[in-house]
Formats: sequence, structure tokens, C-alpha cells
Amino acid sequence: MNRKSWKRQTFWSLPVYTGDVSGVCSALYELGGMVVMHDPSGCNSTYNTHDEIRWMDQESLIFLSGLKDIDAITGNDRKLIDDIVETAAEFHPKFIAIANSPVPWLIGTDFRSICRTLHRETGIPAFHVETNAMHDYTYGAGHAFLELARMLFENENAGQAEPENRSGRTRVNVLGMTPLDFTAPGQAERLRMMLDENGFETVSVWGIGDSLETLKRAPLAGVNLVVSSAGIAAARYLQEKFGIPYVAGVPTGSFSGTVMQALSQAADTGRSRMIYLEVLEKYRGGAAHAERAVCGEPVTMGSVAAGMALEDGLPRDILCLTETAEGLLGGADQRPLGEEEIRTALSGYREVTADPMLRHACAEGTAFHELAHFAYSGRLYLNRIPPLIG
Amino acid sequence: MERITAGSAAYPLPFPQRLEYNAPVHGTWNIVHISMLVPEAHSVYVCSDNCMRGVVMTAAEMGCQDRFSCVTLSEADVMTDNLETITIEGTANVIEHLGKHPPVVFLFLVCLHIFVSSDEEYILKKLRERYPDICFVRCYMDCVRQKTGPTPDMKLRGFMYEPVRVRDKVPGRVNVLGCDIAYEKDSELLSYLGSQGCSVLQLQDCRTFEEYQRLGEAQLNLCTYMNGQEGVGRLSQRMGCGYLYLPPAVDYGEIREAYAQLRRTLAQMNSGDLAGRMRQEGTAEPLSAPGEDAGFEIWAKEQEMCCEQALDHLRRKLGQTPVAIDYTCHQRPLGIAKLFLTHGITVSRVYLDGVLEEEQPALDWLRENAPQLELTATMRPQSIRPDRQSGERGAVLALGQKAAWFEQTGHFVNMIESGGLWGYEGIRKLCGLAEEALDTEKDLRDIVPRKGMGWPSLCDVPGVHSADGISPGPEDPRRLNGRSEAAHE
Repeated sequence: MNRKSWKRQTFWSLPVYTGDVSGVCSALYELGGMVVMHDPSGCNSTYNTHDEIRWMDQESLIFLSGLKDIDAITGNDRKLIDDIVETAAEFHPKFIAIANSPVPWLIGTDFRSICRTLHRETGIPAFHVETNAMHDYTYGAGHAFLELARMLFENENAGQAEPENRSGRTRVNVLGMTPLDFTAPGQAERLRMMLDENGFETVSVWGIGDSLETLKRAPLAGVNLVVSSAGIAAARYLQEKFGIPYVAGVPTGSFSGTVMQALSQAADTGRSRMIYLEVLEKYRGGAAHAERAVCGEPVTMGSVAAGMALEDGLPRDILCLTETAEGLLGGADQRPLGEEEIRTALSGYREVTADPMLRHACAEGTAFHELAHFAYSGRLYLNRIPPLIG
Repeated sequence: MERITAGSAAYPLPFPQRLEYNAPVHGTWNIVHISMLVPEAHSVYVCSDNCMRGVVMTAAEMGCQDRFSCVTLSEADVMTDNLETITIEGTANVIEHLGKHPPVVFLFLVCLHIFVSSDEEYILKKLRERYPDICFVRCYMDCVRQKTGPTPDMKLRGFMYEPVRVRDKVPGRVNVLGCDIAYEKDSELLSYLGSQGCSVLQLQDCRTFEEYQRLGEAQLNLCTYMNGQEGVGRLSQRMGCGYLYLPPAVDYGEIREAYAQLRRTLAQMNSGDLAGRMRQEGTAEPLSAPGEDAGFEIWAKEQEMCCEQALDHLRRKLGQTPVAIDYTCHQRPLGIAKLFLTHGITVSRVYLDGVLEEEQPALDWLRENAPQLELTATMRPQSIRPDRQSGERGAVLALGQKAAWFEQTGHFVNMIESGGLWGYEGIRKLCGLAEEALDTEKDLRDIVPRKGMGWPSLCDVPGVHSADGISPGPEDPRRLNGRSEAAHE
């Protein structure tokens, strides 16, 4: 073991982000499917307590398998299959998704085979989202959206049965929008409205507000708007499969107009853009590091940073604290792991915008701007989470 | 919802173990809350991110983040060794950053440690060598074993007493342990012990680690909570002191039996060598009942009469309003159902997922005398669609948060783990709380999602906003979560 690796896995006072299994559930929550967490206990309680704001008011078929040691030891997958088949027969979900915690991963559970069996026995499409509880929500939700896209479109070809776009408006999918990053009420509606005002037609929003049937229309879009790192894997898949370019960025504050412009350009040119990185690079002017940082998930916080830079003309770095970061950071941005690295990274900035739980990890004298993030501080500052869109 | 009748209920599992639903009702304590009762102790959890999230946020919401640390596990750790290195080095890294060494570190190992056969002894040996001033206690969050053995919280209720050093016995000292909810100083149980010349210590009384060590001075350990039995029993064996398990019975005969055991034990304690006598009669087993005492008989009859009056008053106040009871409110939900039914109070249903051994007599009685009583599961997938959505429910009084949630009523007794109720007073106070709940509607949505009733709750709840839309401040009563500020200082 690398002598330093354990330091990057230690948090003596800071929390960890929402985990991958919760990320799967959050991504698939509103689609009418059944999500089964193959786990002994705790995942479902953690999810509905700390990682989900819809549980009380909006029904979703999210269950736990209640895995027992003896079933894990003997490889009794039949129990999982029978339990899912029984419940599916009662609730008639539109699909079945399985995510799992460490023990099923460790023993090499053949989820692909289990899903094939489930499909055969129920007639309902079933897929596994590769998790093992050792990753964060961006990984889990990202893989869930990707597997969902594969389930929906694996047998479709580019341009197949594409209806005429009579409105003449550029059609947009919004990818990666879960309440873990977009927690304030009405964010999806606000984004739709904004897209509409800027001459776009929203085909589907992946994560909040749209049904599975609506998501099936996604290949009709001319461009995808990736609003969090949880949407990037699905965006890359849709680009590869259907040639749909994407723009990564959240239309927030002064950055909104830039995002809308980039969407049009991407649709016209077919070239994907990391628009928040473009803006941040412009203001950095080649400097190694800025004096200001915005911390958290890269697409949302990168967009917030871009908006701030557009307003005050000052450069900012992204301090990425979540896992899905490949291609989502600029050269000066950092991705510290573990509390020690996070503290060291934070201490390099004069001004920090971050979740309130990170306040005490900053060096004394740092100008701290609070921006609560549900996937980090959970319910602690729930009513203080501001809307990002608009 | 999955329902059966008492007449058809199997023991101990009335419902099959299949896929599980989780209701957004979290007033009960988890292992994070329980371990925080040990003063000055620091908890280190070594587990994967998703499993960590629930416990780290529990600590944060209860305002104990400074007593909690995480070491996360990765795939590489499993490939490197049997998780020994990451567990040792990660824990050491935590300790190096704590500033002051805590006297106790509760080291929580998880399902992965079990499945890769981590050398737990080696882990503890290395940590103890490196930090000889710290007492490392092995604990588990091993949920994968909880259906085939003791649950993590049952195990913790033993581990949490491991740092207690055995001291010279203090005459008349009795520990009341095992339950998360402390008994009030003027409660029937503590008053009775006081009247018998005992000085009582509860874990909740201990504000420092030194005070916690006074637990090692007791002549008798008394446990009242089912999940504490094994742990408190083990402590008693190690201490060489007496041990009694006296649960909060709601049956007059059982209460009398509890007092009989207590009186006999205290008499032996006062005459010396209690532990020796208990060993002779069976290690740490409850002693046989004593003969009747005239004074006690008069007192007991008076108490029973008061209970009858309280039950009758409640019956008249409830009228036709039925009562729903859940297992999180009181460890004797079926016993309460029997008590109420025998006193003319309508019980509509009991929410539970299993039947305790100590509830089997009540279940047998219900099978025979109230076979149509509905038993409803709280964890089955069907629970996701409670009748609130079909509008079937009328007015109902709920005992417990889960019953309140499933019945969608604000008229509920907000209590967990029997709420510190015990003996005759327990029955009387339960009736009083039920009447109070009938009179005053509570804010169901704001109360039941909050974790660990009795601890501060430093969070907002989805869909619940303060008038100014701002998160509760430190002085906001919502942060105290059903516990007085003074009680938590």
C-alpha cells in the first residue's frame, strides 16, 4: 500500500459525500422503475434520511434486499431473484435496477446473469448499476443514467424514426439533474422556462420531473446540456450513439447567457463544449493558481465560479471534492482526497466559496462564502440551499 | 400494506423476510447515538463511503461531529491485505489529528472486515502498542450478520462498557443500564431503589470518563431494555456483581414478579456477597421470587387501583377512537394491546416486524382472545402505500412515531424504547401521555424524520420551513429534539 494512500481516505472532522448507491436511487427515483439495493441494512435508511428530499411526498419503488451472511456465503442469488420477482409482480415497475453494497461486490455476484433471469421471469427490463458503496454519488448517479440510456437506446440507430422538428427550435436534453445537486424547489421548471425563453425546446430532463416515456425521446435532441458530472457519462454515450453534442455548464447568474449561447453553437457545429472551463481559463490568464476557489462538484461549482468571474473579472479555481472529474477540470483546478489534502488545498486560497461544513477546514482569515450543498451537508442546511438555476 | 391477524401470526416472525421498505421515521437511536453516551469517547468508523454517509451525518446532526471520524475503504484496500493496514493507519491518522488523545476509541469494523477475515486482534494490538494511553474497543457495524445473530446495537451495548474498570464495590450501589432513555430521578424504579437504601447510577449521569468509571463500583446491574441484556450481563460477570433483567412490563402479574425479584436481590445485596450467592444459584441469572410481603402487597394493590383508574379515564376519553401501537414506542406493543383490550380500549392495529421472546405470552393471549387484531408490517414493500393514500383511515391515536406515520396522524405519543416508563407508574404515565396526545396535535412531518429522539437535531426537514425560511438557530427548540436543554448539558 502506498504509505500516503490512507491519508487520502481519512476524515477526522469532515463528512463524506453522498454515496454511489444513493446516487443510483436519486437518478432513477421518478421514472417508475424499481430500484433494489442489494445490501444487508442501512442503505435505504441513509438514503431516505440524508440523501433524498422526495421520500415523504413522492412514492418510488426503492427497496433493500436485506442480504444475510448465510445467503452471501452460499451464493444464494435465488432469494434475491425470487424476492424481486414477487415484488415486481405486485407493483409492475417499468424497469428493475439493482445497485449493491460491498459484500455482493466482494463475492463477485453475477448481476448480469441475475438481471437476465429477472427479465426472463418478469418480462420487465432489468439492469445492474455497477456500484459497491465505495464511490460517491456522482459515480452512482452517472452510471445509473448511463445504464438507463443503454437500456433505452441500445437497439436504436442514429436518425432512426426521427420526427420532423416543426417548431424549428433546437431541442435540448438536460442531463444529470438530481436533487442532490439541484435541491431548491422548482429548479427543473426554472431551467425549462429559461431554455424556452432562449428559443430552445426541452425534450427531456434526466433526474427531475420527467417520466421514462419522456426520456425515451432523448435522441430527438440536437444538443445536450450537462448540468452536473452525473450527466457526463450519459452525454458521452448519446454523443457516440446519436452524434448529439453536449455543453457542460449550469445557467446560473451572469453565466446563464454564455451557456445558452454555447448550446446554440454546439447544436450548429456538432462540437461539445466545457463552457464553464472556457470561461475560467479566460480569466485565469495562464496563472498557476487563482486566489479564489469554489469547492464541490465540478460542473455546478465550475459554473458558479464562471458566473462570479464574469461579474467581478477575478479568476477562480475549482476545488473538486467529488469523484467524477475526468475531463471536467482545468489545468489549475485541484482534486484533493482526504481531509488533510482538502485542508492543504483550502489553505492556498484567500477566498473560498463552499458548503458551510468546510468553513472550519479553511485557514484563519480566509474569506468564506457559504454555498450549502445537499450531497455534502445533507439536511443540516437544507433550507439555506440557494437555487442554482437562473 | 401487509397485514395479518393476531390469530394467524407466526412466532417470532409474523411476516416473511423479503425486500424491505424503509419508512421516513427515524426517532430511534442508532449505534452512533448509543456510543456517544460514553463520555469523552471518540468513534472511528472504517467503512465504505455509502455506509459511512448515514453514520457521519448522524453525528453531524446530533452536534457530535468532533467525536466522530471516518476512514473510507477502497477496492485497493481489499487487494492490498485483509484491510488491516488501512484500518490501523487510517485510525492512527485520525488520532494524530485529534489534538488531545481521547481515553477511549470505539473502532467500528464492518461487513467487509468480516468477509475478508481481517485479523482484528492484530489491528487492536498494533493500535494499543502505538497508543498505550488509549483504550481501543472493537465495535461492529456488521449489518450482514444481524439477521442471524445479535444486531450491531446489541453488541455495542456490551462493548460500550468494556473500558469500565472493576473497582471496589460501594455498598448499595446499583447501576441501571442498557436503555438509551434515562429514568427520571423521581421515577418509580429509581424511587423504589432509593427507598431501599440504594444509590443509583445510570450511564446518562456520567459526564466525564472518570464518572463513567464509577460504574465499576456497583453491587448490582439492572437492565431494563431487551437489546442491553447480553452486554449488561457480560459486564456483570466481569465485575462479579449481581445482574437483573427487569423489562418495562405492562402486566400486573409481571410487575409484581419484577418487584419480587428486585426485593429478593436487594435483600441479599444488603446481607453481603450478592455475586457469590448468584453464582451459586446460577451465574448472573435472576434469583427466584421471594415470599409475599404484607407491606408490599398493600402498596401494589394501591398502585394497581391507580392504574385501573388511569386506564378507565383513558377509555372514557378515547370513546370510539382506536389506538394503533408500534414497536419503536415501547418494547411491549403486544402487551399494551392486551392491556388496552382488557380494559375496553379499542386497538386497531399493532405495527411490528417481529415478536420478542418476552412478548410471546401476550401474542398467545391475543391469538386466543383477540384473533382479529390486525398486525401490520413496517418494512414490507407494501408499506410504501399506506392507507393515507386511499383515505381509509379515520381518527386514530398512535403510540409511537411509526404508527403515527403510517396512520398519518398528528395525535401520537412521541416516545421510543418505552420512554423511561417502568412498573405501575409506566402504565399510568402511558395513559397520561395517550390523553395528552389525544388533546394536542403534533407536527408529524417535523418530528418523525429527526434522528435519535433526545439528542439535538441540528438539521432542517424536507418540506418543513421556519417562518423566516432560515435554518433553526442554536436556540431553536427544534434542535433539542424532544429533550430539555438542561438535560443535555
